[in-house]
Amino acid sequence: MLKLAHMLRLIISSALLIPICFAAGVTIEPIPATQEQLNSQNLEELKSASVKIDGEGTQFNINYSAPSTIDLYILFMEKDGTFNPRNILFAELPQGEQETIIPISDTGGWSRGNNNYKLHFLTDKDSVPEVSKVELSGNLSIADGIKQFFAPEPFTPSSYHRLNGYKLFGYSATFVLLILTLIGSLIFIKNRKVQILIFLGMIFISNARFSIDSLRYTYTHLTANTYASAGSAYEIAEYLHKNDIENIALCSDGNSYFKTVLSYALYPAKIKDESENILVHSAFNWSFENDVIRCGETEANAIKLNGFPDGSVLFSL
Amino acid sequence: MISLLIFLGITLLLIAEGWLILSLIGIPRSYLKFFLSLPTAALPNSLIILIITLANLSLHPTTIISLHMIIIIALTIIVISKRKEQLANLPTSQLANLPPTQRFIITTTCSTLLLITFIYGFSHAVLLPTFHYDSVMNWNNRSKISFIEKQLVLTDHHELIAKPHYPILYHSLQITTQQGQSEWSDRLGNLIHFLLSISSLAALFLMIKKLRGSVTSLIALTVITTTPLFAMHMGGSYADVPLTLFALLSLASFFLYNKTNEFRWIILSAIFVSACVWTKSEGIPFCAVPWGLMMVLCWWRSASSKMKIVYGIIIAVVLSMLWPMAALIKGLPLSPHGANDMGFALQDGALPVALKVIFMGGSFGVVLPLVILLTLLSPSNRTHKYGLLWGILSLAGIIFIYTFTSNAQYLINGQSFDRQMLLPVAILILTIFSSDSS
Repeated sequence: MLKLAHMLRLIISSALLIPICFAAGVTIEPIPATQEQLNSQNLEELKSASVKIDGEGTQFNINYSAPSTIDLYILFMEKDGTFNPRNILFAELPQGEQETIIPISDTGGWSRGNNNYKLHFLTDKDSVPEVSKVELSGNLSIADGIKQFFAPEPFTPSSYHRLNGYKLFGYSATFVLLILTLIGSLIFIKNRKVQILIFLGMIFISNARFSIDSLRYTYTHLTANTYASAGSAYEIAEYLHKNDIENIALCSDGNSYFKTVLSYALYPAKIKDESENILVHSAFNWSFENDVIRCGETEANAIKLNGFPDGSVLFSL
Repeated sequence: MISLLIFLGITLLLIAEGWLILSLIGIPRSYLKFFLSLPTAALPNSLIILIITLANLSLHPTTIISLHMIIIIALTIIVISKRKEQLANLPTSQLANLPPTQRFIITTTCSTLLLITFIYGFSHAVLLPTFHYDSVMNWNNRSKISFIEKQLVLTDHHELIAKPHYPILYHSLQITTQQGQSEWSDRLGNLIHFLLSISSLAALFLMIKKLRGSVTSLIALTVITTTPLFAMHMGGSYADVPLTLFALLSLASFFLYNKTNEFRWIILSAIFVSACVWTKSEGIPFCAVPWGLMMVLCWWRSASSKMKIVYGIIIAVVLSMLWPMAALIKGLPLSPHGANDMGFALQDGALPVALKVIFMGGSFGVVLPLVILLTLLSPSNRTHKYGLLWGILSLAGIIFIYTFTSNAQYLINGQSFDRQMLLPVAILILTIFSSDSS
């Protein structure tokens, strides 16, 4: 019985591996990334290159030679030159001479037809990579078309205003389900009970899909020390409160989101332009050497008071 | 632990106040009465906070609790002398006769989806701290500062609050239930709104159950609550869910009046539509105005109960107008985004975005387009027409404002349009499921 189970496992795992074995090169599954993640890259310490690509295809074929790993960010561009920050993808390309395949058709940003992309390559400053090929190829498989429906809806500060939604076979899942409902209703035009079941069924599928993501958000937020983009705002506020620190200055290159959450968490303590305490949060260029803090326009002798899980550091000047 | 007990004590006080108001209206002892109590008490609580503010008194436990106690004692005296009443029994719906297997499948599916939404909502509203931008800018921050300063922030400008002119029901509920705490508790601030939401949803379930039976009610509640953006907002900290739930309670109360011709339901409907006005600026154009038109239509068609409707309208006008009048006296704008809302012209790029949100977006999934379709296709009856009037007027009003005024920017940049659409979508869902032909 055990042997049979073992054989079955072997057959299943072999079947799963077949596409990768026959594929020409290494397949690297990209993962969702945030704009903050991209913005926090210190471009002065890295070598970077960008390339714009447009066309049809379900995967990127990238051939290159690199002495160290390359961080690749893929942006899905809109016609007006902007991009949806919720659809950024990240892949770490291994070092060496490689022929890589990066499938994108099972991700939330991919649509059928012609798409515009911007690829950012980032690597060590001393590294001299050579990229010989970047092209789109491939046709959509049924499995990937369905798999796209399960691409996660990202949780961002703007999720409370608008949700991206899901896709099926490169089309809006809302639209596909709507069309399927209409077709079903027309087929069963004389059977009102079946029509109601079709309507309810589609609504339940649509709402259940989001429920899966809401469970994922719950798990992620309850198990992480930081809360989405709010970072350690509450931990910082608690520290200041316990230590009777009434105001701080903030050195940050991030957007106003963190400052706003921190202001709420801190009150009645305040964030001021000048203070004897400085909090460094998501700053691109800052240093603390020989008891001197340099961040933005601040350069002063300082004592490090505390560090926080999101990377923020509090100093007393 | 002590702070939680104080919080629960004040919440029970509000529930008792709501219970007594409902007794005065003539709602007999029932689960429905219990679940309606907290949403009912939210409005007098806002009035108390406003009176204290206008009288330049301090937002102190003594002032707030003593005013609530005066109301409770007065109500108790009146209610004791009042005879007990019964609610009319309504016929159950045809869905109550579903085969057991179908009933089991529907009940299990709905319960699972509702449970997941409850888990998400409870964890994000109660266990986790507030980390939503608008909440800390406009909602919880205003409550926290008002609580600490012991004075409601009521101005058209404040350095730490983007919109200090918003209606005050949301904040009032948080401020009152924080009394007795040594410092602001973010968790308790969100807990009271989670309790308000759960209480309102439970009341709504029982009201639709009275109209259409338990299975239909469960389905309606599931469709409304698990719509993606609504489910997301169950995590708390915005006033869109309270606004939508007050509107739903008002409409469900009206439907019950329509079925039973009992005056108490019209009073309740008036109280809840007034609560909408005290919750968000949208409460006037998208709740009070369509509700008023719905009542006028009902008055027009009614042969024998015209005075009940007139009294209902008077109650709603008196309760609703207190907030806009107070705001105007204080020089506050009634529009959430200022006077820019008043220039009308089709805005560039707005209509395609609106259509994309409705037919392809993720905020509502397939719920919004199907609700629009069902609204157009469902056979019409009396209940249906009244609900449609409110739902379609608010839906059309929101689409018009976001495509023909400068508010288009909040549609195009993906801010408030989707959130505001929660209200008409929920109203239309309630209408469809409460309709005799559903």
